[in-house]
Amino acid sequence: MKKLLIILILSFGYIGSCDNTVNPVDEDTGLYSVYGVLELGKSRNVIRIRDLKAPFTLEDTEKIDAEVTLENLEINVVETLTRERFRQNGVYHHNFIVQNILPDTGYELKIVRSDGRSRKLRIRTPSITTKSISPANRDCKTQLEVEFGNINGGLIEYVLKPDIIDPMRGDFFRIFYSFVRAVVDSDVNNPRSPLTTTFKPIEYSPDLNPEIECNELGIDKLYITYVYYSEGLQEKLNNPDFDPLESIELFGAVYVDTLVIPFDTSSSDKGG
Amino acid sequence: MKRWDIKSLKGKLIKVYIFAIIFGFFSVNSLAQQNQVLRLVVISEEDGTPLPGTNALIYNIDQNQEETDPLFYCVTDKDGFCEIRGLESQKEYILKVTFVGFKIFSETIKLEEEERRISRIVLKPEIGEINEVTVERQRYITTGEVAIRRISSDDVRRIPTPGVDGDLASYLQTVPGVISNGDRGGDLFIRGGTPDQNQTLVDNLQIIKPFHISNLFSAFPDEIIQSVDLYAGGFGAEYSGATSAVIDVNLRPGNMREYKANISASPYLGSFFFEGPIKKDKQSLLILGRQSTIDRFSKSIIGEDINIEFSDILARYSIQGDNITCNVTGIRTYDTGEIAPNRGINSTWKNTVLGTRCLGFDGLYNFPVEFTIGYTNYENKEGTKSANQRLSSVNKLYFNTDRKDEILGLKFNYGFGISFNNYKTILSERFTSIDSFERHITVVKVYTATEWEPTKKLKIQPGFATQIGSSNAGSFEPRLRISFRPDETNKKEISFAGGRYTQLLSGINDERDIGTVFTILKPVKIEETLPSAIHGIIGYQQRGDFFKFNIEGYVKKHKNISVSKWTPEAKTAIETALADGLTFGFDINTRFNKGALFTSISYGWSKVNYEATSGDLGAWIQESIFSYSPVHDQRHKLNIIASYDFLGISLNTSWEFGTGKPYTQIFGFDENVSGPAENPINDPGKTRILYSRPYGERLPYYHRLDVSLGRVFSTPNFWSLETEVGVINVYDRNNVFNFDLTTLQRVDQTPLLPYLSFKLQVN
Repeated sequence: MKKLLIILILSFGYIGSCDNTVNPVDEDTGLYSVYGVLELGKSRNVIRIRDLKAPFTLEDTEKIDAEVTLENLEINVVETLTRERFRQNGVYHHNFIVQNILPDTGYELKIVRSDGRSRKLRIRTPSITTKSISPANRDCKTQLEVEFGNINGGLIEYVLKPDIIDPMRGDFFRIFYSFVRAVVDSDVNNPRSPLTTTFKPIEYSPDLNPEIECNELGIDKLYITYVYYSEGLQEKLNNPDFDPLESIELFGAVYVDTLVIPFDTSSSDKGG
Repeated sequence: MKRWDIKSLKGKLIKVYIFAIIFGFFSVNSLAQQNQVLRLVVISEEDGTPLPGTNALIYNIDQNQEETDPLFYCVTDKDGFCEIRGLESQKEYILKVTFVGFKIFSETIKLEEEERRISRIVLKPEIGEINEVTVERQRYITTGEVAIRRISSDDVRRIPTPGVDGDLASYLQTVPGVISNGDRGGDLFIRGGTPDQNQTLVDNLQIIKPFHISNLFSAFPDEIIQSVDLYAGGFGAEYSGATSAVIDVNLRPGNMREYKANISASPYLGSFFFEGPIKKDKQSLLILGRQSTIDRFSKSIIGEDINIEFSDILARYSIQGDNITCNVTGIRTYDTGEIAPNRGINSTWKNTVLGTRCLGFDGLYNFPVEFTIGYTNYENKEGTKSANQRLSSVNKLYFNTDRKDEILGLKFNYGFGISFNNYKTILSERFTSIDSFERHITVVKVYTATEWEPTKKLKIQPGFATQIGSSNAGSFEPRLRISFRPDETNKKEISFAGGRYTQLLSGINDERDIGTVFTILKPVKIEETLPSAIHGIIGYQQRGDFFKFNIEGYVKKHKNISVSKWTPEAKTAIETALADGLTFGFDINTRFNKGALFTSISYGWSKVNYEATSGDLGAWIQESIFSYSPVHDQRHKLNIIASYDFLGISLNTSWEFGTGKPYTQIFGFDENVSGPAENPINDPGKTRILYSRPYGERLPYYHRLDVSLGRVFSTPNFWSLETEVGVINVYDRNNVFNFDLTTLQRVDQTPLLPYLSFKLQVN
């Protein structure tokens, strides 16, 4: 009986001493969220880094336990990024500054916590593309073929956004010709092969667009902005599905350029 | 094509079966054979109310009653009724009726040819201590008890509860296999089944959620309980509409001989109670009302607010006729408050039940007939204190009838029921995949069950039930119960119970967040597959004079359980998916009861596993089929109950230990600046809390000791004062309830809660 009592007391003592803490935060998975799109040619880029385990309080976000470096993998030069912070909505936000980045270059972003745990992200910046348009100087409704050269993977997105406003028809007219978004993806098996796309500068659709003569446009060039994304970046930006591990990072680089398409405005041909 | 044929054939067979049962119900009197029947109604001399569980034994006139088994026996049911068949006419027998705590009743009987005699037997209480011989007499009890926990009001009273009376809710949580989310919410999970897969009946009337927002209380204090049968699975064909468990509550009728009234008060709740005869020995009335008070006193007792409120009122009018027993029961419960404190979300639910259950045993009938007519209303809603954001309700009007018959020497129970159901749900943003709806469903159900005893050792009870809803094809629900008594006594028994179970509705809630208990009761549409389950339970039971031991192993396989999708972002809007569940485990229970000492030790081990197609569940899943442990998967549970009476004082203690249940951690606190118009230079981003892999972590162990001391002070002038002093959570264990993602605060269960309660009674 005494033995039983001792066992019971010891059991109660053991159970009573069991850890009673609840850690609401999963410390094993995920360290930081990273949001930064570097732009070639820009002298100052910003990467937002957040400690995922820090609750939304001023106190918890005052500092960030992170040393952030960016390594140029071509020449093995490591740069420690300087930190800036700003306060908004009751919390601090930490940005890390990146100076000029080079085209078609591999970079590794490394974020190291004081306990040695780290997160690494690698990108290859896009190259400076070449572009050629054929046929040249045709009317605005002729289908053109544009070839982007010096490609190193990734994809190009361009928006056909003719800056045309008919003084008589105003914004209504503009809407019909706006925001035609197109994507040209590189060949996975041959990422350095040129990308080719075809389009008509002014697309005529009997159902949607008012018929217009090229010489009525009032312009002789069309400027098309295109963005050349590093591999995988554009897909992430446009992916509606939430993947817990993938969706807390958006790190990549872009090259932004403009395609100038001159056309002959002397034609009055209404065909397309 | 072949599949369609099988389905069609099954549907036709079910229709034929229903027709046969209903036709048989009305025509059986003409088919039944005629013989002598002794019908007994056993009542207590003390209060004139029926005594369930009484043994009625028939011996030959010259039989040695101490050393040989009786020729016939029966055990009284909840109405104190049982019948014995097969007696020879014009022959004298000895009838003995025994019940613990009462003097033995004995008389000589002789039945005439074709006589159906109704005997009303009044047992007198035995004065003084109940001796061992009296206990020994209680030998013939119902068998095949695997997965059934028969709970008496004494069992309930032994569990310390912060009031004078014990409560069924507190008791049930001491049963292995019964899991709650903590000390609030009113949801019980039974052997892997979720609250919407359980069914609670009060005298055959359905009550949807009788458990109060404080898990210490339900609508059933021990004062009004006659007995409760907890079917943790494997229940018979007479129960349908639930895929996991049935809690069958039998209330006692009001005192048929004396008026009694009391009022009680404790920091947790106050109550009033009245019972007494309307017509002595024929009709009585019982009324009980309770109102919680803890929201007013919690600050001064434990230093923190408990913002919950609950109340219930129950009234019962009972009739004991010469050949009929009827009970009219009305129950109303109300619960409101915050499940997770300081969140600003208020949960409210209400039950209204009104109905009549009658048992007719007139000599005109070859077998007794039972019928129930009832109305059940349940409404639950959730929202802020100023505005409700979601509501789900059900209204049911139903008629059930049950009969017995004997064909080719086999006893048959059978019955049918019809219910008219109205389901209504009004939703705002929370459940994005479900629109508000209102639906009317008519359900017909029938069942048959029989008993076959090929030998004295073996009893086989097959059964079959089906339900047909106006928007469902018939369900196919075979049931089987087998009991084997190796020594032909009730001292040792091996039994099995199993079957297929179906329900015509789904309960949908956000089970990831135990801070919300709002549940949509949604009838399953004809194009959807019905939620169903297969149970298999095997048990061994051994009874001694003072102890009882049983061990049970069980498996439950659930199909089509509604679960919430795992959106990685913590937000109020949820979508639902279907999962399958597999539960298996075992329970061990020992009880010792001798004189003033009672002890019970129960241990349960279980594993609950849900499986679903990962694409249905959402994020975090790499596998095509994903299995996980839901929130009610508690692996180990140990309960020790001890009770001792000394010097007129009752000492009750209850200790519970449970391993941690799964919960979902926070993956991270993020500010998303990935939008096209957002720039990290000066844009703070969109704040979001991200869930980690669902149920990836377990809460710490739970354990709690509750103690109470009670004493009754009686005065000669019919007054008595019952007092109880006790402590809930004696050593002030910080048992976690949950971690609230909304407030980012840990919420603990009830801390050390001392109480002193009084009950002033007038007889």
